[in-house]
Amino acid sequence: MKNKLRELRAAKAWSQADLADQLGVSRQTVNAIETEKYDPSLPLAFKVARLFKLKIEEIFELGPD
Amino acid sequence: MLDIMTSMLYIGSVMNNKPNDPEELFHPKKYCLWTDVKVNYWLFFAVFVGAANDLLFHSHLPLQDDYQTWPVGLRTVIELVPLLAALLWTRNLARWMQGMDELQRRITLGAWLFGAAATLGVLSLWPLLDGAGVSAALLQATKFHLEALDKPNFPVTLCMLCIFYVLGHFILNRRYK
Repeated sequence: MKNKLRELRAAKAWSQADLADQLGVSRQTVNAIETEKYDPSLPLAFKVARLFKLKIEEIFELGPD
Repeated sequence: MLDIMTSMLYIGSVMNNKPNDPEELFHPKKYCLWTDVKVNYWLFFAVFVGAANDLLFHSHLPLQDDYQTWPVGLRTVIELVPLLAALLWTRNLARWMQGMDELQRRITLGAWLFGAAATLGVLSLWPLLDGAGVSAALLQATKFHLEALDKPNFPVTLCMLCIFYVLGHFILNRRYK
């Protein structure tokens, strides 16, 4: 699954650790999502969307099947 | 107002039990011994009591003969103490994992599954390898007695499980780095 988390975080000038603190997850999780090695759970995707005041589909995009 | 409350519901719930990565054992600043003790004290107790049972009642010490004359109920309780401690340890472990960050939980669960499967595999294969003469060959090569492993041995099994867990953790953690 593709996502715009890195761009959104960079726009806010947050470090991965800052974002991880706000989401209540580890920095490794933020890094794994940004590098698209890990797809977040639905509750975490909601947290991310709420934090950036966007819809989930504006941040995460399902790639081709 | 409702939007802010909903936002707090999603963002405010921080659950982040910091796991001890096996890699951190070599970084004293990151590693927390207290976390290990807090989560694993029943494991340490199970290994200690299991080893004490084996040494006192199943070795060649004179106490073994007396032990056979003790009431069956008492012997059963003595033998089941390590198992009870191991069950309490798994309860602690499950609670600790529930509070983890979701990626760490996935890695930890995968590592324990790997550890359990590998331990089961070794324990199942060991009698066959023993029968094929591997144990005797190792004894001859290393002078290290492995007779204790020809039947399920609780402390050794738990130690093997932990070693395979560490190996599984290394493998899975690399995937998400």
